[in-house]
Amino acid sequence: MTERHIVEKELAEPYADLRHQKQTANLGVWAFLSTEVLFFSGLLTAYSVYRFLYPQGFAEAGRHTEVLLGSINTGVLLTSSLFMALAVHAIRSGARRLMMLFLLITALLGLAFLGIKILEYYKEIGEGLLPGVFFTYAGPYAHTVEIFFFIYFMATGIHALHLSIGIGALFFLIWRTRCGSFTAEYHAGVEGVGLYWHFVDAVWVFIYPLIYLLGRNT
Amino acid sequence: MTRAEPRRPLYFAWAALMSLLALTIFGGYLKLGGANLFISVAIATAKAAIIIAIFMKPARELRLGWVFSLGGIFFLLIMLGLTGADYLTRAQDLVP
Repeated sequence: MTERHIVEKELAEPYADLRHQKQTANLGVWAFLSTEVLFFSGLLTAYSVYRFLYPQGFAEAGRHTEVLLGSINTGVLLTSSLFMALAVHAIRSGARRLMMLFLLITALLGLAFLGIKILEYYKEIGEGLLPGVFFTYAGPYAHTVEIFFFIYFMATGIHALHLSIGIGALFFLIWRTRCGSFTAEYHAGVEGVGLYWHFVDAVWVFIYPLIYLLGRNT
Repeated sequence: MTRAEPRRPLYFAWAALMSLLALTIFGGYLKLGGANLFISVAIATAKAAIIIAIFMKPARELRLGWVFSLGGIFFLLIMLGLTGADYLTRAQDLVP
């Protein structure tokens, strides 16, 4: 494809050239991720305050999380980020089919993560740890355990929602590639979704030790 | 514009991330009291730094992108800092 063809196909209003358009898209994703940091920071602050106020109850609650499944899921998500990075690497040298393969593997790893997460929720709800009417956990720290699991389900649930949106975006990229989009010269969409995917991975990197490794040292 | 960039840094980054994951699991079970939290957050920060430095590298061309991303972290620290300044100094009154 000649450069003129790519410009005709990809350039949208109001941008003067593709470089301008790509940089704007990139900056837009960074701005969005910046607001996402603040979105998750509310949960992080709530967690910090309650953990500081009720250390024993939080440690007890942390020991009821599924550390094996959580650790496997961390590995799955870190590996998915590798394939996302490989997908961006592939399209930068114009390997469109290879990129589609890597995007598909990334999406499948994302789905595996969600599957394991559902298994975890199933076990925890079965143990009566879902806050509200189904909460049956008893003991001296029951109220604090309930607060912890409220934050747990909120944080991991919102994270899973983010991941689901990411998986949808990956399949959208695959579909767009099949329709003829994305070349070595212009692939801002792939880079944007990549940034988002790595961000969601990085959020989990912080969620993981705060939730699953809590109270394991006693 | 076709360029052959090495793929090796991506594999090294992945290996480092998996090693840090093993390290944080191991560290989580050591009986170190309050130091466990410090260690696990330090390892998480190192993992996030690897993700940003290597996996996100192609999308970090703009300096303004740095301003945007550091802005988010700056306000996160303000939120944690000011909330902590309140709760950490009067928690004794709240908890019997």
